[in-house]
Amino acid sequence: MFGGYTEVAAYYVDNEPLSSSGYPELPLPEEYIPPYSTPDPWHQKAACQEDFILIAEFSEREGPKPVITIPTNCCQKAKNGFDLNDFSVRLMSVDFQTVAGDSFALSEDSYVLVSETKYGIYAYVHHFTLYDSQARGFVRPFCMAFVTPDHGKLIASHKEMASEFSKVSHCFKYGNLLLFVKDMSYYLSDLMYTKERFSDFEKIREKEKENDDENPQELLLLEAFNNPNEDHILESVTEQGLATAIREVKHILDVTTVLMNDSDMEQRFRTLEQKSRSTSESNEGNELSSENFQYSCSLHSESGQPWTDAEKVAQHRPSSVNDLEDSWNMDHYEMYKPRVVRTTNKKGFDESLRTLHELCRWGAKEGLGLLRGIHRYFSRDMTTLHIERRDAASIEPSPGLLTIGRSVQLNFLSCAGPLKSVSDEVTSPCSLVSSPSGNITQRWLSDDTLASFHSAESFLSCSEGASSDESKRSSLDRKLSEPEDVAGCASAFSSEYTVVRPDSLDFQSAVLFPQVPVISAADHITNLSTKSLGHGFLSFVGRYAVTPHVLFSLLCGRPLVIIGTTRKETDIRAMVTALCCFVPGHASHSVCAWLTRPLKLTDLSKFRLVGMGREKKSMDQLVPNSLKNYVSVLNMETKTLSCPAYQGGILTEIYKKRKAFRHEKPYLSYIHSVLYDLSHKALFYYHAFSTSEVAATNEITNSISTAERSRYQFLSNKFGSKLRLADCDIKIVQYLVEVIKCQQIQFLHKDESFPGAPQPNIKLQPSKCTVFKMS
Amino acid sequence: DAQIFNPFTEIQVFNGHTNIVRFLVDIDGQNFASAGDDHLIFIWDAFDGRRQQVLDEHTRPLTCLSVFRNCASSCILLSAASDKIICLWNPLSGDLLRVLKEPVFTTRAFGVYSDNVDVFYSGGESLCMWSHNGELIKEIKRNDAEDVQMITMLSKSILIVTANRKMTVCESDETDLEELVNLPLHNEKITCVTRLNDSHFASGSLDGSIILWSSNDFSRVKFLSLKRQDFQGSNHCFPYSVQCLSPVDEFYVICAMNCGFYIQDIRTNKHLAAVSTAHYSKIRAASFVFDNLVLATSSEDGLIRLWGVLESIESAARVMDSEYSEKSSAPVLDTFFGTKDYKKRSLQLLGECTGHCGSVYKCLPYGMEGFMTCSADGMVILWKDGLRQ
Repeated sequence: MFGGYTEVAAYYVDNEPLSSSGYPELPLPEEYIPPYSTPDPWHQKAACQEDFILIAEFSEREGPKPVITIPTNCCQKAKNGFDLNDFSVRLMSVDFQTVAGDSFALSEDSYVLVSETKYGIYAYVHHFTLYDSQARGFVRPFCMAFVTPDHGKLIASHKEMASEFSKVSHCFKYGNLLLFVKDMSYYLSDLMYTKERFSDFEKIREKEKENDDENPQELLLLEAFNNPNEDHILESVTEQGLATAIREVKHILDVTTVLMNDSDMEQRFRTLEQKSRSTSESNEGNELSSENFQYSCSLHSESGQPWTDAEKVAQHRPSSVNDLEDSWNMDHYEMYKPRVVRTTNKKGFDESLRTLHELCRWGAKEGLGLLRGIHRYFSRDMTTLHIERRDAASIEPSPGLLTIGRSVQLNFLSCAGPLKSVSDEVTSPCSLVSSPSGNITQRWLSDDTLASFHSAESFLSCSEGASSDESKRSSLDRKLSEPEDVAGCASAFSSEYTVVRPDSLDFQSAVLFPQVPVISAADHITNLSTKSLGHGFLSFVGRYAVTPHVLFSLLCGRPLVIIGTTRKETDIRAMVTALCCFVPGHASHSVCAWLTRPLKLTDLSKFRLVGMGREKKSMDQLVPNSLKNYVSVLNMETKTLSCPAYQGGILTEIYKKRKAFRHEKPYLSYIHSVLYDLSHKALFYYHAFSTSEVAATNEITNSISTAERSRYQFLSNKFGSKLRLADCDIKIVQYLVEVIKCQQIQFLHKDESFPGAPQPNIKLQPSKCTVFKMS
Repeated sequence: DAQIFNPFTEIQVFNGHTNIVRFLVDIDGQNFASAGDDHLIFIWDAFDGRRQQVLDEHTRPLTCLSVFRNCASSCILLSAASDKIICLWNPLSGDLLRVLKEPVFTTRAFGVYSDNVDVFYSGGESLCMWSHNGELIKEIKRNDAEDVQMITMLSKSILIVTANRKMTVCESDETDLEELVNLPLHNEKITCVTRLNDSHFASGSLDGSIILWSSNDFSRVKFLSLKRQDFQGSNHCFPYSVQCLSPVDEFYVICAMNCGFYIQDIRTNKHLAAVSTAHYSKIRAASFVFDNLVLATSSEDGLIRLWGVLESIESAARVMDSEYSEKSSAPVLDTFFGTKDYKKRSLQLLGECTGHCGSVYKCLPYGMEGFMTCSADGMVILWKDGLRQ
């Protein structure tokens, strides 16, 4: 059985030369060698570096052609001979469904992912069909494509894209539907009228035959009713053709009218209409309606005359309210004066097809607005999208959301994400990223704020979109009143922190700060511009050695006032912008870039960072003596900083690291990571210390005594050392926790409406100030 | 100054007045009224800082504000202004109950005995007794150049009416009011009169003298403080003027004299504690706050300073944990000094509440946690224990 073994072994050992790796080198057939391509993470080979959206049409006259791109000039920098027309052909050929058959049927949207390896670009393609009374088979196939060199982005977010593009297509299609139904009903009335005229015409013809010479007077009389043009048309009409056409149009109307049920969308169109109306002059309204009259006439004019220029201009205008209302209200179509039409769909090729705007009217405006939003949203880097998605999950419940410099850190009341990695004993595992079905972008993008979409507003619309529900709020009250239930109870001094996630966190309806947009740190870094918070911080750090003390004031909630003469306004504004990213909490108006009146006591409740300026002689009045104890002052004139001295590691580290970074972006990313770390420590402090028994007993006792206070101090310091927090750093963490607590209190009181607005408590922090000289 | 013993690190600012706020009156422990030179009375909710009501009827700066609880235990807010009318309000609903226009004079003071009476008194050019619903019962016309400045209730039926240097004892029953006796004149204008216990009251005046009187026969018992030499000082600034007399535990009184204050035993005339220059300017009010552990003095310099005995503060917390209910009835000074054996102590400056930028007029202890101040800068501030919040 093993007889041949030695021979075989000898064959391999002797005859096969071993390669250096110890394995025999067998030449593989060509087709098995995987094609090797150099990795191209920056998409350098791609024909287009930037993402763009393309709308293309399969025109019945010209074949596939591009219609609109977002942004408009996206392909100017295209390489490798990339041609939009070619690309449109490629896209439309992928999934072009012709609706065959005699009867009219509605077609569903479909989407597909396309890779164009030749150009190194990839596309999400969304096909949809619009209806046009003038088009062949009444259909106009279109597609929208999100084109990107980043394949991974499509893979990761194609489901979100599908849902977003569906919304756009709904806008287009609904606007189109309103018009189409109107057109068709006009057409129907035309046909009915034609039928009537045709029977008259037939009678006359018969009479003509019968009384060829007998009664010329009568004939003349009858002919007087007739229009020679109509006669011309009527000659081509057959009774059967008319009947078929009427049956077909009635069928189409039956199918389409049932779809007109989106009253929200109609309301939306109506507001758009009113907006544009209020902006345009009142006398234009009349013009518009007359133009629209022409418009509808020309649509149905059988003569097939090319439109005059004036009419073409009118086509691009949005239709007037009356016109839209006509189409909404089907009872109104009697007002339309019908005319004689041909039944055969004879198309004149000299007549151009209607554009997207003409086909969808307000739907086009609305849909393109959405598309621009989609482009702004998805054209960002994939990592940004990913982080933002994760951050969005921590936005609710909003009272628990901690932000520093308006960028999301984490949520104290939900244990999404970060906790999972640290704590081993999470009782119910929670997912990092929410499922696509309930995806966040869906909510962000679906909102009305989309018209003015900015990535910073995405979160905003998210919280606005949430509906407030009384029952949920009451359960929130209950939960907040029993902090242990919400937060989970943790023993402060055991090394194992157990965080219990409550079974149902129904805070979702929480809306706390509707006015202030928050952004994710990733978005902050990617979209860093001169206006961004934190811009110029690197140079600030480079210039002032007192930076750690400055940051300490900001991070422990002590208001920082930068004062100088009016000449220094630009400098001071720039400093405020640079330091903004260290202001915890996202309460409105916590930062004021330039103030010229003296500071007031009530300002302390809101301002955390203020730039102030005055003429030199009255500069002393800016910060009254009574407030000097409570604010840190950075005086640009005397070049002094008066604030509590910082003794700790974290902020000094930020200062020291400045030399390692030559550019602001990575430095700010580093700072974000430091702040994120601090936030985590605050999260532990909150759950383990602030909501536990230690804190509870402390609240009951009267802790003015040094003994009590030092005990409290001792406990918190001990806890702090567990979190590796030094003297001053624990104060920062305490303040971050305080911010969250205040948000919760504020949340509980927010919807009680009484005369006289409740005024917030002001936390005063009298502390020993040191005066630092700034060089 | 880290002020580790200053518990008042959280404040609630009641913003709305546009002029000096002179009066601060507690209504029911939660709501309070403030009024001053902007003709308006605001009713605030001290708990969350809401402005509950704005009472707008007066056309001139207010001259006095008081709360009157009658037998039916309904609460009436009395206000008078230099527009010569008196208004009766329901402070919680904001309803104007009645406007008293006759007799026509500017009321300078109200006299209200604490509880369960159906009458109140008002003084100005003449002295009037009113029923709880604003019916005039009796008017005593005074043939005096000086208006009534203060009315001090010694008991339900005895009141001391003060006008400049003169004090008059009046007696009333529910139906009638008459002047009993004029007390010997003071040297200078009387600045404060206060009831110390059932049998004594004290009066202080600009010249620095404080006189202890008997409530039984209205005789002068003794001087708690003598008239000073050169009491007028330079530029008539009266450096020894007695600004405030607050009774403590029947036999003790806090006297605020110019920029300083002291706590005095009225039996022995001994000073238990004294701070001669506590403020930069005259002290307007002094009261015990923070469960009697802290003495707060408010002054024309815009500061409120907190004074206490360190040892008692350090030991106090434990006691209060266990015997909280007992403590509340214990003598104030027991808590303040931390011992029943009162001997002369030195007081420590525990902290300084800065925030007002004008003269602080009134200081009203509020609940367990803090006190309220009103000031010439138009602000009313509730100072709270930051840690307890």
